[in-house]
Amino acid sequence: MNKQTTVGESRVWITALGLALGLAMTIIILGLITFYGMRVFWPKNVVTVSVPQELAIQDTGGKSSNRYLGIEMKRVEKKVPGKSEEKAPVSVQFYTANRHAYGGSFVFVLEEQLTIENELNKNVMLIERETDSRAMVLPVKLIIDDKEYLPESPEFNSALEKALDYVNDKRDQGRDIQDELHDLDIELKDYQLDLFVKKRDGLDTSLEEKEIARIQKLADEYSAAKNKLLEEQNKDTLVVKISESGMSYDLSVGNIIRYNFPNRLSTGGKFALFCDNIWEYVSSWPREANTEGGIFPAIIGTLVMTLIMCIPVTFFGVIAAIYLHEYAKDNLLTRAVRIAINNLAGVPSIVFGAFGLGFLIYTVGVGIDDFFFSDWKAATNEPVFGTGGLIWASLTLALMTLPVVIVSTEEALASVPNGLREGAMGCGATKWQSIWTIILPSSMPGIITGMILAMARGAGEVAPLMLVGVIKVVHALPIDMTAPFIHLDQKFMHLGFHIYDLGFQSPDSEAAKPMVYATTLFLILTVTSLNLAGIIIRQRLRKKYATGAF
Amino acid sequence: MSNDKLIQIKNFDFLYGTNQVLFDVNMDIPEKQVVAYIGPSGCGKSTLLRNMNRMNDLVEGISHRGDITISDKSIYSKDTDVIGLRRRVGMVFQHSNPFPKSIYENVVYGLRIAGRNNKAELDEIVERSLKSAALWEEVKDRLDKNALGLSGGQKQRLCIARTIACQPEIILMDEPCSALDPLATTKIEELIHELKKDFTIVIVTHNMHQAARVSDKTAFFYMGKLIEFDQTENIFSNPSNKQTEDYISGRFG
Ligand SMILES: Nc1ncnc2c1ncn2[C@@H]1O[C@H](COP(=O)(O)OP(=O)(O)OP(=O)(O)O)[C@@H](O)[C@H]1O
Ligand SMILES: [Mg+2]
Repeated sequence: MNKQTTVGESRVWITALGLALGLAMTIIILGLITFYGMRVFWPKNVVTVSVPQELAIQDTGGKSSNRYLGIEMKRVEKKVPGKSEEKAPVSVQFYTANRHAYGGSFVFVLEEQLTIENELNKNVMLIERETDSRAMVLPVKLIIDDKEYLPESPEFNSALEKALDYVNDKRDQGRDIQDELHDLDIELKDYQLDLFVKKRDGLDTSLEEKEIARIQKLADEYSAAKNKLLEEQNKDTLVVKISESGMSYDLSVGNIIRYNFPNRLSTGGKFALFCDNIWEYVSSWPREANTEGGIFPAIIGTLVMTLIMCIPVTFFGVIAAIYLHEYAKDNLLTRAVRIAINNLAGVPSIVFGAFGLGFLIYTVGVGIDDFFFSDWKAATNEPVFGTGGLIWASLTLALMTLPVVIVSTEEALASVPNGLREGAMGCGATKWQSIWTIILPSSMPGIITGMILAMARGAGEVAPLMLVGVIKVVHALPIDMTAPFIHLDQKFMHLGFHIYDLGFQSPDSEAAKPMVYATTLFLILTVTSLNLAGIIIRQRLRKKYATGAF
Repeated sequence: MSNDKLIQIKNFDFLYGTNQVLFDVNMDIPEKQVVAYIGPSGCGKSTLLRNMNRMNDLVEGISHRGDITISDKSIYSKDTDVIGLRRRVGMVFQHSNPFPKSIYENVVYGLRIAGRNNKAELDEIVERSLKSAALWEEVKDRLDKNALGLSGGQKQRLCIARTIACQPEIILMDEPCSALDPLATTKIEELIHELKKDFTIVIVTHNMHQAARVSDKTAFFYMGKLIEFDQTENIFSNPSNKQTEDYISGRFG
């Protein structure tokens, strides 16, 4: 009897293994990033660390504390190379905050030299401030107008809450004035430009001078009002000390953004604070050289840049694919063009960045400035388009992702049944009409697939952006409510670059490390949600044009 | 007075590249009659049909000798308006090919691209065309629904309605029933009988009975040559050519 074997089937498991490995790695990476990214936001207890007198930390107030506050971050074994001891000493890292007082936010202490006190100090406050890094302090007293509240008193919390409400109210007013000043500044620049041009041409400038004087007077009034607001905002004081024996100082309530008592939180309270921390991170602006605050402008920058990129890449990609697939004859030239396009997909992205800088900015951008903004340039000595900006970044990435769109559009066009073309032509459509009315709509799902792939590649790219328009901190979003709403000439923040900046350029790299994970998580989420939006649109279209294979 | 030489095919040769598939075809097609093309697979029926509205222009590397005229005007002359020609000579394909649009938009497609957008006029044409295609009763309540949701036979009748809507003089049909069940086939055959009153129809079919039932004249092709072209009764009852007889009686092909 012959035993039958299925030849070749034994190798199927290799392909399955490949898939499993790929999946496993993806899941591990995503899991790690999610875990580390989310952990940053989970509130932890603040412990009191006590160390021998010789290890006490000195603060800038000239005091020293051998019992100080900290959050345990991690433990590392300190292996000394060459020495093979039984047990390597373990070093514990504590997050102490109070960078302004300690000169750093972290301390390392050997495990054998420290004791962590059992009792948690319920009074510890963690305070995020507008300027300066996070404070981890014990409140001494709250001074509101001439009244003093001690932390033990029952009114302390409500008084602080009320004071903060007052501060936030002033902050809002201040923001309104800031907006007014911003508008005035735009108006002022317009008049200054007119003034410059008229002066140069020897015309009468009295009108402009009058207007400029008016605006400047107005701006001065606003500034004075703002200063007054600031003074009011800072009228209350919270006296704090950094540890039982450490220095104490006056912390202006006007400087407080949020605060909490970490050791008083129940699990539910911790969860609420966790959510609040996440929301704060995605919705607020970065502070303190990006080590504090949130990533709101980076998220917006990434989204806007990617969406703007989609417009040219889809437009040119589809046009090119239509020409290649529907019109071009199959000859040597077309084949060469196809090869060139496919090779374009393999060019390192930094090369596109160099192209964007060298051609788009230095040639096209400077050309635009010379042609359309010559007066502006002469008056202010500032480039408009002749420097990195949203438009150039988007165009550079559009060029980089063009092959993806061309290839998938061509595939989509090829998958439109020939019958539809003939049907359209049989009804008396010209070739262009049949493409525009029948073939292109039917290929829409495939075109969107290309767009999704382009977005996925473009949104995560950092290297070329560093050359063509991304910066570390911005003071305005690339989109807002003043015309023309999308500011194509503006520089912008980007999540990918933010990660690089946090990881490698930060003044406090230990503090930035967890932020790297958090930002990475949000970069992934941003790209995913962009793709998801694309997929949903594609699903709708696919239902509508149920013919194509896409 | 009807014109019995509406379409004239004169000494027509046709080549795909260097591969000659039609040899010296001569044929006069009379107005408002149904002409059936029969013959074994690959003998060039579709090729000839697709030349009559120059649909073959889409293929690269084609060439022809001889001429085809419609109402005594050559369709190959330099000043031929190919778009206009395709409007006058409509085509229904073997596989129904409704556009992924609503039923309504499918019917008015030819009119819309010709720039006719008057709603009242289009509504009327849609109703008339769907009625002549015997589809009106089935779809009148779902005109705005996607045409891809129709059955195979309905789709084919929709394609016929789409062709009729352009008000052509001639309708070319390339095996319009080959993908349909007998019931749907019967419907289309009845339809062809009706359409004959207004249009000249050329139909390619592999179904001898269908050719016998619907056509007034029948042409038999073999290996790119027109072997016999005569009144349908003559072809089926008493063909003058041995090859025709063999083919019809099913001895080859
Ligand atoms: N686009 C094309 N390019 C090259 N050769 C073709 C093309 N279309 C058809 N031919 C060739 O021309 C010949 C005639 O084809 P045609 O489609 O006209 O046959 P037919 O009579 O319609 O056959 P069937 O009954 O199977 O549809 C065949 O030999 C075919 O291979
Ligand atoms: Mg055929």
